[in-house]
Amino acid sequence: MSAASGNDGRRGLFTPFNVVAGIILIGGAIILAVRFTTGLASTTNLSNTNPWGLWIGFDVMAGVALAAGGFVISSAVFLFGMKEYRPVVRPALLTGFLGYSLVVIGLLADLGRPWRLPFPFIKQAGPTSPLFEVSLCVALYLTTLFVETTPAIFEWLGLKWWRRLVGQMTIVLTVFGLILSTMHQSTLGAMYMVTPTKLHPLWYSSQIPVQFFISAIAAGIAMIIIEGWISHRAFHDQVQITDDEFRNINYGLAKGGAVVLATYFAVKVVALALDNEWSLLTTGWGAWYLVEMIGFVLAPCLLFAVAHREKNLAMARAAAGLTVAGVVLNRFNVTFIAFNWTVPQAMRYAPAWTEVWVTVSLITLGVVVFKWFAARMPIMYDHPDYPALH
Amino acid sequence: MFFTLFDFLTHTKGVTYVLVGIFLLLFLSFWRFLTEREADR
Repeated sequence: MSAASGNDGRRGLFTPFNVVAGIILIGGAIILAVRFTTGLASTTNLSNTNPWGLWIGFDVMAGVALAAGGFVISSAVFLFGMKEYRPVVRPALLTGFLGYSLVVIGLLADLGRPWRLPFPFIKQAGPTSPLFEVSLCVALYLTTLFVETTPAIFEWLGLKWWRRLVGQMTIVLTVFGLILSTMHQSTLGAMYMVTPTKLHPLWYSSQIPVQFFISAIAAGIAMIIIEGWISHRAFHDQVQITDDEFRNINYGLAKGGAVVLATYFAVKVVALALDNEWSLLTTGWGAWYLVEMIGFVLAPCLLFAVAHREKNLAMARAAAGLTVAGVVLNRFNVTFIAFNWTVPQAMRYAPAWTEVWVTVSLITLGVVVFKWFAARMPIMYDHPDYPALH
Repeated sequence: MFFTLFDFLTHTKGVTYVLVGIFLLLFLSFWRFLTEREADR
């Protein structure tokens, strides 16, 4: 290798993105090393009063919802025959696989005794527990997502027999993924049904499993729009579909987002009516609830609808951003903001900077790994050697 | 004021049924707003 090419290689490695990502990841690794050697107390503001914080609220609760794009779009394409969305299936499945992998890493960091992660399967006799169901479904769905991601890996490696085999399993894997996602997305909400005295009544509801499931579908659709926007800019040289086709995919997703958010809004209002919580809307907590419902559910719903109607891509992306922020806000509210709402202010939870850093590190890791996959494998395009299998 | 659980459920279920009816009607309008320009293309 010549001196010039060596310099090019170093320059290629030390891009602004890589430097910033590297600093974030090294910082996150140091914090996690401290966490695993000295315990949760040294790196988090968690306590016996507030055992679930940012790592559960974002890395697990929001992370699982935001990774729902994989099952949403693969079901739409392979089960409901919406073939026009096929170009976004692989990026969505890869995002889902990486998202669920990061959920597991975040969960390992948060568990007091992380080596007990497999206990639900081998020791605990708790098949009626929502946590058991979530553990089982997430483990199985992560495996399913991995298998659904392997066609791109096999095409990259040239393993035609394996590629054909996995291709023949597409429908089975999609059905399996849809069932598992329906179960654990809703059961993440069902876990809060044992907290009627801790979770504020505006967020607590017997309908919370349904609310979690519907909002996860909205989050998945919104994430496909945002991920498509970013990856089409970053990998525009790989993209095979025309700009018009890409826009139409986004307008279709905006239509889906509008319908799902409208349904979610109705379900949330019906939950208020069933528990007769109307009077709480005039309190301070009520104002915060209305911020979530109007600013991050109704507003993106209408923006999606207008974006689809007027064919406005920027508006669809704005609505997607609001939807993602809204689902994250909802999970934060349920996990720690409106949770333990009766305890004195001094005992309330606020995340430590180390918790925030680790969460940002996990997001950065997801972006870096996605970039690595997409730069090498047929994620954004169809591999020319496998025309019949796409 | 509710004196019994039956009072409470009668009230809340009644309100919920009315609300669901309103939402169904609103959804028809919303769907029309969402899709009416699709036929033009």
